[in-house]
Amino acid sequence: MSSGILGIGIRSILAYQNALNVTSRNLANVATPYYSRREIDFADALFGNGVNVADIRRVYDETASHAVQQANSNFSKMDVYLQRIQDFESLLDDNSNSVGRYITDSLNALRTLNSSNTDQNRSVYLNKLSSLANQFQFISGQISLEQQNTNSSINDVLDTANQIIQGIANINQQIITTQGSDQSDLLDQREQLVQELAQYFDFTTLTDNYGQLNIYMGNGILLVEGDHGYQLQTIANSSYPDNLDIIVNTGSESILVTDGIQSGQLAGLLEYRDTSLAGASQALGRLALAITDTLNTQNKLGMDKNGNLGVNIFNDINNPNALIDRVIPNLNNTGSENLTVNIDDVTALTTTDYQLYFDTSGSYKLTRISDGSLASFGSISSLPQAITVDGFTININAGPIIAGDEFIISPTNNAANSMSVAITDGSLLALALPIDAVKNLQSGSDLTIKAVSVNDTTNPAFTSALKQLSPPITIQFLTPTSYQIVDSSTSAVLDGPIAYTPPSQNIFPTPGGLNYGYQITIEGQNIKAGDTINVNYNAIGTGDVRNGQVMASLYEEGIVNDKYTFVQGYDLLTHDVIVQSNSAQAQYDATQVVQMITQKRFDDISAVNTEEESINLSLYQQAFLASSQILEVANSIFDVLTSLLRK
Amino acid sequence: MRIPTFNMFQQQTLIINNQYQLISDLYAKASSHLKLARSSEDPVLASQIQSTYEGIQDLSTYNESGINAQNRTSLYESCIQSGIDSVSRIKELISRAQNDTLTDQDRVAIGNEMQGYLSTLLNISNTKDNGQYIFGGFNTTVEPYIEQAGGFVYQGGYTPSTVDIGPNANTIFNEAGYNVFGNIYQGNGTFTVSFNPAINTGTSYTTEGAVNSANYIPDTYTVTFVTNGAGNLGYQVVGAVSGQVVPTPPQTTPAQAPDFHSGTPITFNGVSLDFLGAPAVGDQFTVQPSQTQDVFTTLQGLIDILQTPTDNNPQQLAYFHQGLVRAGASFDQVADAFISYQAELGSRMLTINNEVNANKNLIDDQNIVLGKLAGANLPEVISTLQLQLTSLEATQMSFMKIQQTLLSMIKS
Repeated sequence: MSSGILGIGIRSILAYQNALNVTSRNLANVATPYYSRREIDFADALFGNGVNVADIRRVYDETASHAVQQANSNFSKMDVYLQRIQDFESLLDDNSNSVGRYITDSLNALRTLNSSNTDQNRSVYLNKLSSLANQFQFISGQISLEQQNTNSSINDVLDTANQIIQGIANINQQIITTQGSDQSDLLDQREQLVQELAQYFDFTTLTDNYGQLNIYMGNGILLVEGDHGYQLQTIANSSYPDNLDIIVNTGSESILVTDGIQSGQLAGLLEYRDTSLAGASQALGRLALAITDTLNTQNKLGMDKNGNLGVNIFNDINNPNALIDRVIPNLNNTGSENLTVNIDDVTALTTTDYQLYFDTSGSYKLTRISDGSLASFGSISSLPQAITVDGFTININAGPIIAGDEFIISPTNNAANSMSVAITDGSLLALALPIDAVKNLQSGSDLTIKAVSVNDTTNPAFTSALKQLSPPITIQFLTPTSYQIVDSSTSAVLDGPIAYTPPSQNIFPTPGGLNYGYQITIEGQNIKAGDTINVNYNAIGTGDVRNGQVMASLYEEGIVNDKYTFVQGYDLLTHDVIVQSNSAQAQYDATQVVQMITQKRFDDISAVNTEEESINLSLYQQAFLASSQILEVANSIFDVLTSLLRK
Repeated sequence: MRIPTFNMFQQQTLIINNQYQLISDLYAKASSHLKLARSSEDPVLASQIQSTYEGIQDLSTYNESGINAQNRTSLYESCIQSGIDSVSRIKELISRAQNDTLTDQDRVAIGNEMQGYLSTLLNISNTKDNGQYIFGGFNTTVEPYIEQAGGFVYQGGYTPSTVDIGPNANTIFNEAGYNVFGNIYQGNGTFTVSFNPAINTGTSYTTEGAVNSANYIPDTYTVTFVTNGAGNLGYQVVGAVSGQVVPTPPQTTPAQAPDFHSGTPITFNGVSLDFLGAPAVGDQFTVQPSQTQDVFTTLQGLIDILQTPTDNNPQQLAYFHQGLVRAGASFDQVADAFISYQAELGSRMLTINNEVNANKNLIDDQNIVLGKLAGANLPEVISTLQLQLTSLEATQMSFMKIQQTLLSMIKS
């Protein structure tokens, strides 16, 4: 470029023209997200040649960008999680329609039935129990639906993410091919894609020497390598085949990344699925088992309207299907071991699932998934073998056992889903006790029967013959402080004399070891010789509701986890979700604030301020006009020179 | 410090959104009158609300039982009142029957009237409520008392069934009829007196007798009238187990048998008997410990005595009177038993009413507590709402001003 005033004028006009371009581009992109404003640096042109545009800088701070990515990830995670957990909370915590309400309704019907033992009231109670079972199935169904929806959402997120990944890879390629020219636009586009990707999951980025952005997931698994973008896909989780795992498919191998995802929508969905939904499902299952088994067992200790010993009200918790449902073999297993799980004691059940792992073909480890603690371990000498722990028994029925095979043992699996009432006839409700104890006293005696209870109707006293006790017995007082037990049908003395110690005493088991599956407690300070108590089968006990009363009292007993009543058991699982929801709201608010702050920091550096640009515009406009004056002056000098030369 | 333009607009949007959210929450509280729109707003409070609510629900399950218990007890009360009315009428009839001016036909007529009361009492014992026999104990499908082969048989259960009317309260719901109508001691409650008309030739009969429980020795005693050593009418008492009681051994009988004085009661071993009429030598009276018997058998026995002709024969009359005395005394036992059952029902009703009221009061109290825990403080909500609305207006105006400034700058 020529020197002198002309040169200076031209150079400066060009410089300011450039500046005006850049400024107007900035203004035009005031609303474009992640557009980084361009700044012009002027420098004194060398050798007194005026002004040069030294640099058009893209104002961008990598650290601020990373901060925004992280904040976006965290906020998106809580956004997705909060919405779902709040909806879930509404489903469970609805007082007019909750499982807790149905439990209380059935108790109401039972108490009414106990005070008015009519056929109609029996039907009502059965209906309420049916409704309760249906509600368990409904909630369980909703949880399953949510799990499916979550898995489906994961797929949707991955579809979008994959497109973005390809987009980033493409830009990386263009970065290579446009080396040397202004890549600011490409960089802006890539920034936008990266920030959008950050919403879906967390990752780290590294820019290489050529300006390409590489993206790493989890513990350094490459997702974008230069112009290569790998696909994210889902596969069935090997332990829980109904759940999806996330893998990176590089074409030659598939790498599991699920555990490495800590943030973003994917993390929110995974947490919702694996913590909230799974936890609620397990607790609901345990509650279903507790109610079913407790009422079934108590009904079998009683006598129904037809005089027969009671049967199961609900489907037995250890029916053949249930035994198998509780065992989930790992997809990678190579053996064909036959396992079933029997529930022995609902009060000892926890809510966690267990991992059964055969480390060799002769030994096993059983771990609780909730806290990783070891529940049981040992060797397997011969099959079949039983492992009993936490209220259930794993029966290893047949092998051969292959080392490395593992199973998920889930005692609560499918329990809520399969809860159903097994009887339709109200007369099968065993409200009565199968025995009646009648006293026959001498004048002046104060002997009373304080309590009668049945604890085992599988005892031969009940089972040897239908609708009778084998044997029927009489408790005969020989003196005010001693009695004997006599077979009422044969008069043979079965045990005695037995000492009686006022004020009261349990009859069974007798010192001679008699035990007939029931307990009788007598009371009296002034018992006379000759007082008797006859114990017989309660053959025509149609108005007896003693067992119904025991059943009602079971609703108030601490059965779930040996501590909580049925209703409290439901409150427990709802409360967990409520607390998760409360905590999620707090985290949502916090991450939202962090997102605002980091975004502001980024924008402080990179975003366009219209006032600033407007001022710059005026400035450059002035400078441009000033520079054009230089040209005019240069022109007039030139005119003078040429006119001089002409002379 | 730079203020990026886009960011500024975004922030305004966010702030206004948050304010709208707050306002919408407040509207929800104002219309639902609940402090918490969702439990996760305050899990601890929600937990308290839940347990209070559940406590109320639980207590309410006893409501129906309480009402049923009240109704049933009311029914028992009206039954026993009927019974008491019948028994007092029967006692009037017994009084009338003692009059010696009545003829055999008169006594038969009295017997017929009593037959009517026997049916009434039997019907009372077989009362049904909702298709179930209320005096059957556990056995509510079979008639408690039936007449069979000249006697009465109790077919019901012997254990009363109970009902829970509150968390720690239960009362009897279905009585065992045996405990109300059966199992009543005869005579004066301790012993009965009878004689064999084929043996006795005198015209004596006893009153129902008094007992001194401290001295009473249960045994079957035979009081025999003899001629004693002094040639007077005397008596001896021999117990089946106790042996000779009067005269006290080693005195012998009949030589040392004490004199019988008409008008003076004979006493021995806690027993005291007045002999009316004129006993003859050789007359024997049996004093036995009371057995229990049901009301109907007793009443039937009474009717039988009334309807046995005496033909105005003095010995027959004495026998008749002895029977009437015994039956009359037995009926006093029945009357006592019915009255004491009535008292028991009264106190049972009181207990039930107290429990029902206590439950109701507790439920009402808990509802108040629930209201305080769960209810929104409306004045507070409404004033906060107004504050928020004002604040929203101010925010909107300030944003508009900022935007106007920006626009004017850009234009110039």
